Amino acid sequence: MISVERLVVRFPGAARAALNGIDLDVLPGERLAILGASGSGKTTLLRAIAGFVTPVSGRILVDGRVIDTHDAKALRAQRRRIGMIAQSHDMVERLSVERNVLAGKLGAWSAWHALRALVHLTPGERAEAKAILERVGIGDFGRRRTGSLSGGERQRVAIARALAQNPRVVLADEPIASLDEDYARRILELLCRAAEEERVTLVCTLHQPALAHEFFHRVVRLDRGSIGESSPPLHV
Amino acid sequence: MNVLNLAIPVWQTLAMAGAGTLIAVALGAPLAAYIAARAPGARAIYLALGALRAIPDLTLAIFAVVVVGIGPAAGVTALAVFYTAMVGKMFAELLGTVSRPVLESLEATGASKFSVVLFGALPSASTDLLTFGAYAFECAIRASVVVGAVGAGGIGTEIVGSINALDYRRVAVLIAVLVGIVWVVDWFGAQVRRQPLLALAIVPLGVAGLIGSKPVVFAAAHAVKTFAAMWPPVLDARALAALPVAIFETLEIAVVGTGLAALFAIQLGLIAARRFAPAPVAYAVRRVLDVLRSVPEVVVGLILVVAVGIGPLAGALALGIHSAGVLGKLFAESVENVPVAALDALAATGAGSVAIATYGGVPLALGPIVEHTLFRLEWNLRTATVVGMIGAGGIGQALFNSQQTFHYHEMLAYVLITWGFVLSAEALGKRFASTLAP
Repeated sequence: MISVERLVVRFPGAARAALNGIDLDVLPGERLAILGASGSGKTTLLRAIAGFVTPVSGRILVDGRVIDTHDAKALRAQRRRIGMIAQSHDMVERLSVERNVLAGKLGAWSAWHALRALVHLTPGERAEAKAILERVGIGDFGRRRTGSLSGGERQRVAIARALAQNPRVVLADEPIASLDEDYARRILELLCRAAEEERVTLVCTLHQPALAHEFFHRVVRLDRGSIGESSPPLHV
Repeated sequence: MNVLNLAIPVWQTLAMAGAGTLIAVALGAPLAAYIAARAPGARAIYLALGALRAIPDLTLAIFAVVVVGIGPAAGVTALAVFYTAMVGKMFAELLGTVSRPVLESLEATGASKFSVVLFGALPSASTDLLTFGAYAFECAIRASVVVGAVGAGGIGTEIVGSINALDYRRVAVLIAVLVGIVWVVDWFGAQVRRQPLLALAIVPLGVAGLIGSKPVVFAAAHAVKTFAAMWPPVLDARALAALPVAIFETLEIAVVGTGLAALFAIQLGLIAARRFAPAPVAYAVRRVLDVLRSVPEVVVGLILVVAVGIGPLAGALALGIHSAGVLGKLFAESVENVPVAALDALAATGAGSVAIATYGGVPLALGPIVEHTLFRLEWNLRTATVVGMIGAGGIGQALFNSQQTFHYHEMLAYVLITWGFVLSAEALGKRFASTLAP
């Protein structure tokens, strides 16, 4: 599903490469956890897969198609199939929860549609947002302002937004950072169950090895921009 | 004086400002979204808006009076052009301040740049956008008095008419009304900062103003014909020879005016600051500064031309009096921001208020004081081209005279010269600021 081939990423002025010749294959429907210390390149790898970082060399294929950051139109088409869940501070705080959920559809909407949805949501759109919010356990949160939610609640909205996008691949960047262990476990359960139901490939960065081994098919460790140890791939 | 006599000019001034602001937001907001989305040519549009903003509003008004005809429609046109540039540029900058991760998370869905700006940047920056919209309206009120002075209607036209009719009682009443309006609008701006949605109250005013001032679109054919007749810009030999003197006079008005303002402002500012003078005195001086600030330079100039006669002195004093109000308030704030411990240390020696202010307050606040003064000088270089029109000399007067005598080729040339003058002043100001910056 995802093929990373000899990927090298170097940021201008940096002493060493952020990613130093990464080779990684993720199978369709696989749930892969990436562990690693801060600065090991976990976030950069996810951002490269989503086309936010241009590699110095090597390439990434998603669904057999190369991620090309220089071809804006093709990149947008690719991104529509990739859901991204980042740490909880990337919501449009002033908008309602339902609008943040429906933002997952922004790639499929025209700019006019976006403008209309900003002013007015159709009953159909409202119902769709509610159905997705129910799946993540906050069905009656739709009309609330996103800025008023707690960290854990926002994380649920972020998962709902990714689900609204109907993606083939979900990239989750430390989705349980700054949550207590009990809540972190519930969020991971939610995420993994949704991935299972939707037959989505899930790549998730984490700090907790125990949780990684418990919830994911395979765990790889990134160390200063290179793949370190890796648990054997399970049969998916 | 009968109340109805006042109601019409007051309404015209408010309506002109409202309509001008409404058009400016209607045109400026989509331009800003286009710039924020970094669509093709966005950089060029951004630079063009910055350049357009450099034409002083009164210069645009004189131009608009010729092209659109005398009356509020000309005022609305001038304000709309000037404020479209201002709103477009500032909205683009505000949209650009929205946090990257928020926008990136929307880009990650494969959304187009426009959708990301509409769905992510617009709601995130909405408070700032509304607050700035209200601020633009505040500025437009003052500007609508200014453009009124050249025949665009409203209080400005009334003031000029009353001066010409030597009816100084009416002038005094009109100025008092103007100060009142400016205060109410300032208060409105403060409310909007607390409750941004209040800014939407400008919309009905703007719509009413547009209907009342008869939208200029109807006169488009006439406007294009008049503008075509102005082309090309020409200065004859006599005007060309007088040009260096005119430019020097304009510089003189700005420099002398700013110097005078700084001189008075430093004293008024120290008294107004909450620290040195007794509270009632400080309060009284703050109100005096408010009055000085709320009367636009051109209106001060109109009175002074009567009092001290035509010439650059009237212009310099006009800029000086208005700028003293602006700088006095800014200086007072700078002095209030000085670390209290340093002043307390001086007080501990038994020094009196005057000594603490001169040895502590001023030296410690010198950085911001110099900065505000230089910024004001840059502002006054622009305004000096404007006050010239009321008989204070310089490029402004040459521009106004050419309009009054129907020398439209010459007028267009002066508009372009003014534009170039202000652009150079701005460029110099930026250069200077960057060498001053640490």
